[in-house]
Amino acid sequence: MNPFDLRGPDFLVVYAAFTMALLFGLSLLRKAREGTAPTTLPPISDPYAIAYLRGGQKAMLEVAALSLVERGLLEVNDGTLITAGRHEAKLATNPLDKAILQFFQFQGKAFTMYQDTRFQAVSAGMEERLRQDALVPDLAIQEARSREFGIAVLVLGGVAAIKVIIALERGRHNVGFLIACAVMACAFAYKMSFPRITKRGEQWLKDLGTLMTPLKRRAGAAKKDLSWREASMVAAVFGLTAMRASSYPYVGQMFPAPDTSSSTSSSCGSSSSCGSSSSCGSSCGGGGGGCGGCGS
Amino acid sequence: MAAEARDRFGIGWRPDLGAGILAHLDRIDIVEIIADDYFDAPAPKLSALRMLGAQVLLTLHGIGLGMASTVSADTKRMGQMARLYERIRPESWSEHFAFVRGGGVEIGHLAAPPRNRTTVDATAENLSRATAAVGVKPVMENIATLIDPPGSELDEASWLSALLNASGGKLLLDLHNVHANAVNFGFDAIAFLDRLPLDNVGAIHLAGGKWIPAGDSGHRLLDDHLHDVPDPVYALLEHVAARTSNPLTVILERDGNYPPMLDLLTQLDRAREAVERGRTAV
Repeated sequence: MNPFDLRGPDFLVVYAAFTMALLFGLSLLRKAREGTAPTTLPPISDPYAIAYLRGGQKAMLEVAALSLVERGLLEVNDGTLITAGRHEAKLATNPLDKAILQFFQFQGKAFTMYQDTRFQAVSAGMEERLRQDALVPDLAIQEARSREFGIAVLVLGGVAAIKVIIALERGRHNVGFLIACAVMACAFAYKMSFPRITKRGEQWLKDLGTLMTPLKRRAGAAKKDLSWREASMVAAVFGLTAMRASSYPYVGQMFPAPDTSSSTSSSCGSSSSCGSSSSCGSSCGGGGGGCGGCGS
Repeated sequence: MAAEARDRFGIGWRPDLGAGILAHLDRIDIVEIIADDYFDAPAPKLSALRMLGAQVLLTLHGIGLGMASTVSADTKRMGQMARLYERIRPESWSEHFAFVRGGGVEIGHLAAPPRNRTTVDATAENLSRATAAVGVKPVMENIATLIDPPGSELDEASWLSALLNASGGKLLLDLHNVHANAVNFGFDAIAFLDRLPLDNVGAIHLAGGKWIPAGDSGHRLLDDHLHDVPDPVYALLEHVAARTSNPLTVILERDGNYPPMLDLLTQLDRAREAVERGRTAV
C-alpha cells in the first residue's frame, strides 16, 4: 500500500510515527558518535565545571557565589553581595573566585554578575576545557550534527512535500495542518540535534546525580554536616534549588525566583529536583531554595 | 625512610558519605565498595560506579561469601562477584575469614569458625574456587569476635598464619578487629601482630567501636564501625608500617553515625602520619 494514497488523518498518523522513528534514529546516531564511555573523564571534584556543564555560565556563577559565601569570602546583606575583606580578591587563586570577589568589592545584587563581561573569559576557558573532555561538542561533532539535521529536514520536509503535491493534484487544499506538522517535526529534529552538551556529558551528569543523591538529602537535613565543598557539589549537580531554605536561607535572598508571570526561564524550572515533584514545583515560586522544603 | 608514595589511603563508600567522598577526591587515593550492595544493582548505579572508577582507584569488599567454612562458599554469590568485578574492573577485591551461614541458615553477620586444620583446609578450598571464579585472588580479612570459637585447636594468630600459608594469599589486616579481640580476650595486640606474617599484609582496615556490657564479666569492645578510630589502633598501624616494607592500602570504615566529612578526612590524615612514623622508625 502506498502511504501517500492514505487519507489525510491516516497519513498524519503515519507521518507522526515516521517522525518519531526518525528522531529516535537521530538520537541513536548521536549516542553512537558522541559516546558515553566513562574513560578519561575530568575530575569529579570541580563543582564549577559540573555547574557549567549543567546550566552554563549562569549556573556556574550561582554555584561559585554559594561556595564563596560558605567559605566566608562573600557576605550576603539583605539580598546584596559584598566581598568580605579588602584583600580576599587578591588571595583567591581560582580565576572565577577572583573575578567574583573583585566584582563584589562594591555591594551589588547577585544577578548583576550574569551579564558582566569579565566572566565571559572564565566561561570561555571552561567551555574549552569541557570541549577537550568531549563533554560539550567540538567542531567535528557540530558539523556531524548539522549534517544529520540537514538530512532529517530533507526527509521530513520531502515526505510532507510529496504528500502536499499529491493532495493538490487531486484537488484537495486542506494541507495546512500537514505543513504545520512538518514544521513542528523539523523543530523537534533541531532541538534533538543540537543539545548544548554531548551524550557523554549527559551521562556524566546523570552518573554524578546517581552518586550524589544521598548528599542531596543531607543538604536539607543538617547544614553543619556539609563542608563548603560538599555544599558546592550538591549545588553544582542539582542546582541551587537543592539547597533547603531552612539551612541556606541566603540562597533565596541572593537569587530570588523570578516572577513566573513574566518569565519562563525560572531556575526552578530548569532543576530536575524541582521538576521531579509536584509539591516542589509549587514551592519554587516562593524564592530560590524553596524547593528544598519538599524533600522532607 | 619517609612514608612512601605507594602507600595509599582511602575510605569505604557508603551512600551517605558518597558525595562527601567525591568532593574530596584530592585527599582520597582509593575507595572501597561493598560488593554485595551492587550484586543486583540497576544499570544506572553500575554506570555511576564505573564513572567513579574512572576517577579514583576502587576495591571491592565482599561480605557474604562465607569463605572460612567447611561448607562450600556460595556459588551464586561467587558468580555475582565475578560479574561485578568484570564490570567495574577494580584494582582488587577482598572477603573475610568468616562464615555467614550454616545448615542453610543465614546468620546475618560475620562469625568466627573453629580455628583448626579442618577449617584451614576448607577455607583454602573455598579461596581456590573464588579465585577461579573471579580470576583474581581475594585479599582476606581477619574478623572480630565476642566469643572464643568452640572446637578451636589453634589460637587466632596461628590460624591466620596457617590460612595465609595454605592459600598463598594476602591479608587484609583489620586493626580494630585485632584491638577489639585483644581487649576482649586479654592478649597483647602488638605481640599478636608480631606473630603474623606481616609481609603478607596487602591492606589495612581502620574503624571504631564502643564498649558494651557483658554480664558479670564487665565490658566488651564491640567493633560497630559507628565511632572514631581510637588511639591504640593508630599505634598498631604505626607498628605494622614499621615492620613491613609492603605498600599498604589503608581503608577507613564507617557504617553510620556519620560525622562531618572533614572529621573522617582528619582520621585519614592521622593514619597517614602513623604510617609515616612507622616507616621512619625502620
